[in-house]
Amino acid sequence: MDWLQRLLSRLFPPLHGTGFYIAIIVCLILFVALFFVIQLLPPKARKMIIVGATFFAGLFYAAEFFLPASPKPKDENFLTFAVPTVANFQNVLTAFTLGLGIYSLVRVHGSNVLKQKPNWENSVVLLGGMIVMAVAGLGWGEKSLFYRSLFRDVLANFDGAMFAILAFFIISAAYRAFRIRSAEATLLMVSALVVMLGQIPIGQFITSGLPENGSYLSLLRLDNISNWLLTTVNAPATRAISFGLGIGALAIGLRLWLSLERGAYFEAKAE
Amino acid sequence: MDKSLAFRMQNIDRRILYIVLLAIVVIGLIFPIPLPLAISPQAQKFFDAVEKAPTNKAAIVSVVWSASTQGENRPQTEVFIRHLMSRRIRILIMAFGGDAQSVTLAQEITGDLAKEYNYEYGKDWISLGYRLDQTGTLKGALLDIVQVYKTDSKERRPLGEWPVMAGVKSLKDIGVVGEISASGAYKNWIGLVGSAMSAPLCYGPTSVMAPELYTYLDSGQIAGMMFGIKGAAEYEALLVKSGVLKKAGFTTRAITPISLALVLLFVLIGLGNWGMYAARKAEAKG
Repeated sequence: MDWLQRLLSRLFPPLHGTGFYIAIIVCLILFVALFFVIQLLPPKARKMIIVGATFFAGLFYAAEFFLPASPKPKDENFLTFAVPTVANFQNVLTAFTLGLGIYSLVRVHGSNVLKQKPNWENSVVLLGGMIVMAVAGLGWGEKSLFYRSLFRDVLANFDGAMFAILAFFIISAAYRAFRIRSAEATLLMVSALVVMLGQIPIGQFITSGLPENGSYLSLLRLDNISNWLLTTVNAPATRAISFGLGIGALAIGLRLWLSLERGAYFEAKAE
Repeated sequence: MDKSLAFRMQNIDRRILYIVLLAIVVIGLIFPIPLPLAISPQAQKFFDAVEKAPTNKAAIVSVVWSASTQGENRPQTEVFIRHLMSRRIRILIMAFGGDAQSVTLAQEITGDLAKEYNYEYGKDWISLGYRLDQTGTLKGALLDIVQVYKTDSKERRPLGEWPVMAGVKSLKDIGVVGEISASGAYKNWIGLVGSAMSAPLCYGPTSVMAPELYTYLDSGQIAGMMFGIKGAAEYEALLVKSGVLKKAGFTTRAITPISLALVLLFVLIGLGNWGMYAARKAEAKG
């Protein structure tokens, strides 16, 4: 199937410089035009297009994975050559979700500001921050002092501080909520205590007099008990949850791929 | 038993708790307690995997964290990169996740360490950049890293032109992979490319994420793990032991406030429960 690869390379040669930007603009215009054409179609036809596009998009990886590969060392089938290109395509598509996020933020917070809803001042700060950061990055560039100051000195510290505040809430919440009222709660409390103590030097210090290994007494060391709880008690439970999650994800994946999910795009209009 | 005291023990004002915690963290940072740190088998395995990595192959440092978790993920990234640099292993940085900060933060850390170890950008290390979609990127990179990334993220020059990429066509040519993460991205590495790569996959998650990974350590799909900042401190201790570092740094120092904060947590939980039982006992007595 080398002919397919050669044909595609000839049809879509790598572009650089001006040609590359012209191609992006042409693609954008084509996709906007396509969007409006799809809008003009009757709902059922529109749904069929979306179902078909979803199916064929998902089919690529499934087919590439399941179709027999040529013997090693090549270990490839006729679709394998396209995987890096599809990966780039996937990245571009995923990047569009950032655009959707920005659009959504501007719409919601712009409306808050214009209608002066309660706490609209926070929305002004958010929109202002977003614009200043974007201007710093796009206008001045990553290496500029302006961008680096905003990123490293402001954003990174704010972000870190916000997460650090969680420690205060955890202390307060654990103190108020962790009451031993049943046997299960006692078990949970004791195992949590042992695991946490085993993770910190102060806890490890308590049993540091016992041998590290090579003796039955080493089994009583807090760090060893903590490790045993994590590897022998916690790991199988996590594994069981992962199995359940995996099967669920497979079922959901299949339903999405085959557009069997209720409330699919345009479904209401199509029916 | 004084019923009001028991009641008070159950309802300490949250502002008092905050002040005590703040004081403990500050004091712990200023006056670290020199306590022995037991090296966990997981951290030892991570260290050994890097120690055994061939020096003629490049390593991948995958970063999936932002400034919010830098308290744990930054020291993990630092000790891992330091170890790689001490062994003169070429470094390729990949960044993923929902936050594009990861690439800037990783470049900053590597850039700082590069000065110390005389690592040259493009020759000894390179930043491949940030990709929003990890699944597609990893699947593509398993076949052709250059085709997926095309350029580096710092200078925006074609990737194939950089000397650091010599002999690196795909993920199969990598010597060791380490991902420092605040998310569940390890599933993409294990599920999509792990079995096809010969390189060991090591992981540095935040503490809350770590218990999830033991199942993959058991199966051998993850070669080693740094359990949050405590894992980073253990790794730092191993670096000191092996002579890479002369003395332990801030990571080890940060263990004291964490230890003290956890002790405070135990004391408070104990007080709350004692208050509850004392109040019940007092009520039963009438």
